[in-house]
Amino acid sequence: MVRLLRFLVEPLVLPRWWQDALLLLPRLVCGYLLAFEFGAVKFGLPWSPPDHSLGLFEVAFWFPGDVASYGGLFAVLPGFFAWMGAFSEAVGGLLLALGLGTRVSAFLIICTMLVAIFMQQIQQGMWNTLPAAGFLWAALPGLVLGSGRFGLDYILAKPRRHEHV
Amino acid sequence: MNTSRLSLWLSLGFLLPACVQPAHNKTVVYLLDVRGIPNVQQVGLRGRDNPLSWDQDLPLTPVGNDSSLYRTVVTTRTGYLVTEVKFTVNGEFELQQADNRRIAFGAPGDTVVYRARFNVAGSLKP
Repeated sequence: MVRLLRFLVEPLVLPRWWQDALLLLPRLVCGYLLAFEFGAVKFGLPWSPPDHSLGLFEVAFWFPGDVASYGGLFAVLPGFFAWMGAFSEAVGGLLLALGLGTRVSAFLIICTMLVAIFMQQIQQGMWNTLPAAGFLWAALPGLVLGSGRFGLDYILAKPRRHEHV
Repeated sequence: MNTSRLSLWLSLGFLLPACVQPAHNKTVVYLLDVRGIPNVQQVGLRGRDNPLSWDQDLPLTPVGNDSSLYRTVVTTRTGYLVTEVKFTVNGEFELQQADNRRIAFGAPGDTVVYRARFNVAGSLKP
């Protein structure tokens, strides 16, 4: 279990600090936009628009209907998939920006964006897939490398004093 | 997949739908005064929430035969507290350089009456 956690949290550090800094940029932008713009309107967080009247961790009333329209398994459990998708965007985006549980949050975001691309947006033409595809590509380095030097994972995964380096 | 993992996924499948924002039917009666607007052929309402849209008019009908007052009733199933709309006359939007009209819904079951004059921001006093 500890080994799995370490594998999930411990980032790969690139040879130069500026290389990690460069990969921080898309992670920050993607995380901020998902957590504070796109996710916050469909998932209840303290900074969700007050007009939307969303309770904490509540998914917007319209989202399960959208998800159900994808058909198949999505129509069987629309509430579950809507909640998971909205959570992945809003909370996953926040964690991605902070570099905390970076691989897990990147994985959730990538799954959500794949669903958005192939179940919703591609029917309206390739151009319409660009926003979701953009988030997918921005999250991909996080899935492979974790947070790099610039994230809470890096601090958490640092060897403790009692551990051997 | 072992039993505990299966039951975890099943519980999530049944519990998470309970975390969906409740939606209620909210009704707004729109009354629009078009006094002073020449050659009024069609008066419409456009807005953010179903059944309204920003692309198509929901027609308003005159209250009386020679009336400059137009009316429509819109019921929206929503969880939001506020909706946004604009009126149109002959397909032309009002308040083109201004914000949308924001209408606060009442409590579930309550009907809100919104009175306005075309191209004048804000609501009129009853």
